[in-house]
Amino acid sequence: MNIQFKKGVLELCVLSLLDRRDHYGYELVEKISKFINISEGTIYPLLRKLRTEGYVSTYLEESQEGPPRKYYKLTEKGKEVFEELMIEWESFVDGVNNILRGDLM
Amino acid sequence: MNRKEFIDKLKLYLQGMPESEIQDILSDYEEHFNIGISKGKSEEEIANELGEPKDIAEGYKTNYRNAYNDSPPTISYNTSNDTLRRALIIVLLIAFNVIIVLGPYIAVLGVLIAIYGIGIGLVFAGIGLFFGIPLMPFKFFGHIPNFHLLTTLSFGVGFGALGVLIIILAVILTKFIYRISIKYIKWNIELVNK
Repeated sequence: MNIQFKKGVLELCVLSLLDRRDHYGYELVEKISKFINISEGTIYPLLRKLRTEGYVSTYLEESQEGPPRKYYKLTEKGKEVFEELMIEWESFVDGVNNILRGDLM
Repeated sequence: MNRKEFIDKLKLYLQGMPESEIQDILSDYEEHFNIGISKGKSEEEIANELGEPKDIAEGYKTNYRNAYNDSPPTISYNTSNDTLRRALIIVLLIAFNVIIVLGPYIAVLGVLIAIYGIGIGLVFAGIGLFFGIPLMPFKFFGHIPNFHLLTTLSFGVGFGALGVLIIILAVILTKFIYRISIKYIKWNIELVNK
C-alpha cells in the first residue's frame, strides 16, 4: 500500500487508541501491528512527530515489571485534530465505498 | 540483528540530529526491547519486527526537518553548494567559450560569408557573361576577349547555375550551423542550471 496513505491511517489509529486511554509505546505498537501489517519501527517516529506537533504529551510511570515506561497522552489539541481526522476518514471511506459498490449516481 | 546492533545502527543513522534528541529516541527503543524481552521475545525477533534502523532513522530525520526548518536542511545546503558550483561552471564555461570556441566559431562564420560571396559573385559573373556579349556593340567593358557567342552564353549559364548551387549549399550550411549553435547554447544553459 502507498506509504503516505499508510502513514496517515497510522496516525489516525494512534490518535484513536490514545483517545480511549493513555498507552505506552510498546502497547501501541503491539495493538496496531496486530491488525495492520507495518514495520513496527514506523510508530515511534510518528509518536515523536505527534509530540512535537503538540497532539500528544508524554509522562513516565513506574511499572511493576522493570523500569518506568513512557506513556503517551492525547492533548486537547490532539483531541480536536483526532475528531477532525475522524470526520474526514468517515467521509473518505463512505466515498470510496460508494465508488466500489458502483452507486455512482 | 541483536539489540546492540540495532541500537548502534540506529544511532549511526541518526547522526546530524541534536545529541539529546538522539539519546531520547534511543531510550524509546531501549524501553521497547526491555518490554519485549520481558514478554519472552528474543532480541532478534524484536529488532526484526521494528524494521531497518536506516528507514526508522530516515523517518525521524524527515519529521525533525519538517518541524524545525520549513525547508529541509539538506536542500538548503544543496542550494548554497549549488550557487558555488554554478558560479564555478559559469566562469569555466565563459573561459572555455572565449578561449576555445569563439575563435573557430568566428572562422566558420567567416568561411560561410565567403561561400555566400563566391556564390553571389558567380551568379553576377554568369549574368555578366550572358548579357555582356549581346551588349558588346556598346563597348561598356573595354577589351573583352573575343570568344564565340555560344561559348560565352553557355559559360554565363554555367557560372550562374554554379553560383545558385553554391548559394543553396550556403543556406543549408547556415541552417546547420544555426541548429548547432542553438544546441550548444542550450547545452551551456543546461550545464549551468543542472
